[in-house]
Amino acid sequence: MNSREAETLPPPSRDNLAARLDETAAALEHARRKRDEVECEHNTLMNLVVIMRGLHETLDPDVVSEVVRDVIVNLVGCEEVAFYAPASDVEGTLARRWEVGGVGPERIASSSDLGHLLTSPTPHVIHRESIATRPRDQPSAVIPMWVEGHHMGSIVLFGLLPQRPRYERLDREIFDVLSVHGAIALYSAALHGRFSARAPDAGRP
Amino acid sequence: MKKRILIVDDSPTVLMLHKMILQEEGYDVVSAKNGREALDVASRERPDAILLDLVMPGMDGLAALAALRARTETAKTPVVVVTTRSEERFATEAVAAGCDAYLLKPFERSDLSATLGALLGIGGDA
Repeated sequence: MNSREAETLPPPSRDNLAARLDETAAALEHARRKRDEVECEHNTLMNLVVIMRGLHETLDPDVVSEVVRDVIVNLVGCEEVAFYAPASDVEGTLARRWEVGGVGPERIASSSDLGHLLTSPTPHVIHRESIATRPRDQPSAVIPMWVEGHHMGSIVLFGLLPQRPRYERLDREIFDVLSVHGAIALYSAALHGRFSARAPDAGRP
Repeated sequence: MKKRILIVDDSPTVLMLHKMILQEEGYDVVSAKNGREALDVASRERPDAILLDLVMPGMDGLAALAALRARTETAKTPVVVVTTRSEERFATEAVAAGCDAYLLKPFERSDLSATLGALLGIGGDA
């Protein structure tokens, strides 16, 4: 039945048709929203799979660090990032191991406000809105990396690229994965390094 | 026949992610880690379109784009510049060098699909 035929129907049938049309339009809209949600979820999972593969396909701590940098720059869109690990020479401090964009102090006291965030067990998004307006030396997010009670280090993000005004859900998922799997990858690489130094041939298949 | 896409990026993470996305959408994918390698792969594999990063060690994206346009076999191959660089001068230079589209990283998967689909004249999957 086309719309012109529908207009010739007696009023009750036209009302029924109009109601069914509304229902169909609502169902279509619901299906569209559902499809967008599924696509978004799929995209998130794909990003996380790629990150985990990158982190776990190496036992070289330098390569793990490269993967972390690569993920932060290309998937999160942050070119101002630094990585801190507990300093071995001065107790109670965290030393900067690497940075992108010339950001972050060389050392951070664990007892400072930022130090507390860096040594806490979970990622923190400090600036949820308008990251560009924060003071340039203030971090926008912190990703501590812990495994089995060992603090393997913390990633500190400062400014985002201009096309990224704020962190989204996918970014927070990435932070969680880096926090857990980045720590495991760094821990495994460190263990492998120690084991290989003691018994160079023992680890070979 | 599947459309073939050449991805050029020095980031292993980006290469892996874009490869997964494009393969899932039915494209055949080849890759290169810098501009020089891209020229070799493009000559050998004759891609239907190229995703080209701008900032790469060795031969960068703009130099690679100019070289691709100078070669008969790739002079008309659609090139999408995919970069974190949002400054206008980069986009202006890329367009002047002959790119067909400019995508800012990180981008939505749907943006990549739509851009490639439009350039290759296909509506849905490859």
